Amino acid sequence: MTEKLKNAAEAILFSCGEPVSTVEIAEALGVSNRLAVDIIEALQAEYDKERRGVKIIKLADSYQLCSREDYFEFIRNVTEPRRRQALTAPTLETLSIIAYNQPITRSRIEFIRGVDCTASIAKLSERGLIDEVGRMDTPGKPILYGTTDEFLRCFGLSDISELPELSEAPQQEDFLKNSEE
Amino acid sequence: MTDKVLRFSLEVYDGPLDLLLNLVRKNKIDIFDIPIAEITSQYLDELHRMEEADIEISSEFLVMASQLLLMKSRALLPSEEPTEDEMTPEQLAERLEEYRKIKEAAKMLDEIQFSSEALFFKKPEKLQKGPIENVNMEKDLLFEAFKSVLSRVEDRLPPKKENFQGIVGREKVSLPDKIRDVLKFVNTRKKTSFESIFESSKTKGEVVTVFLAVLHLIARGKIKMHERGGKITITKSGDKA
Repeated sequence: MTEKLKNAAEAILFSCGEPVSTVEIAEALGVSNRLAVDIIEALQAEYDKERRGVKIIKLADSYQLCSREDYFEFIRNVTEPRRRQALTAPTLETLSIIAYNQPITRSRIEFIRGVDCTASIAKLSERGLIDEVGRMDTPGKPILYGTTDEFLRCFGLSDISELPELSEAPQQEDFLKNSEE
Repeated sequence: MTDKVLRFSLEVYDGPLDLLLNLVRKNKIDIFDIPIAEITSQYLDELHRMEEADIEISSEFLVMASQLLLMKSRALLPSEEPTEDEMTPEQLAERLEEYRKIKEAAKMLDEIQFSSEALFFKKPEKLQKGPIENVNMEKDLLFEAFKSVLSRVEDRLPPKKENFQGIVGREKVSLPDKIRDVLKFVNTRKKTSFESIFESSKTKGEVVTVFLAVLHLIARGKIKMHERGGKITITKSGDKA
């Protein structure tokens, strides 16, 4: 791996700003996907080792450059305060149904929650956390929803597989344990 | 007056499953071993309480209530054949368990929803497009403008008798007359748009003749044509646009 390729990858990530896929990086550098991943990871390690001002985060099959949390306080001195708006409990429920069951139709989401989910689905779409990812091949071709890169980024995940694991149904013994509490 | 009791601690449920799950927790019972009769009566009590507190009860709560009542009656009359879309206690347990998991997941997502708050991202770069090439399209522009005038005349509804004159007769439009008209029109206004010259033209023949008159006047240098941003203006010779 040459220093030049690593620098080129750095330049690409800086220029694009948005997440750049492994395939795009590999094509731009003229190397295999595997090598592209090695290059990015080497760059990533370098940034981390030196606690540089920027770092590289992985989002599904893409990489993105962003500032390092260590320097948040400093950045805050030069930027406008952010509007921090938490998702409401019903919206979070809808989001977790989609995150754990994607791709999923609206009717299935509503079956699981037992209530109408039009508003929370609209809210999540508006905030870019979910998107239409296709249509189900059944009569009516219902829309299938899935989470976005923005969702991963927002929740600090590199991949959907990093979602916290859900505890299984409490078995008989678990139940006994629980009832003792 | 004083016997009105204010209730502050009334729970607001996010749907019938949320209410049921609350009852299951409150009673410390196993989701997979729910005493249907008992839960049903507690469920209905809760609905009544909501009603008293003027909380709107959505139809989903009522659907669940009827399903619970049906399940309860099935337990009393086990000989009856259940219908296909009827909920069984097992299905209810599955739904509650699935919903319980989702609530748990939502709580976890809530905890990590600001994970990237301390990170800043650069806005995506806008791809720069090349400069717009300036091609001299004056002639085409004129042609297009003429076509649009023509079509506007044709669009005028309802079709007038004159529209058939090309077929059933001959209209009298003389070029020298139109040349005079156009020159007068331009002279009185000094500056006018290409389209407005045709405002008084009512037939295709007239439009064509006016167009010819404009060409004549340009050729003779009596009027001038200017183009700016796709719009054509006509001025008297010697006057600037």
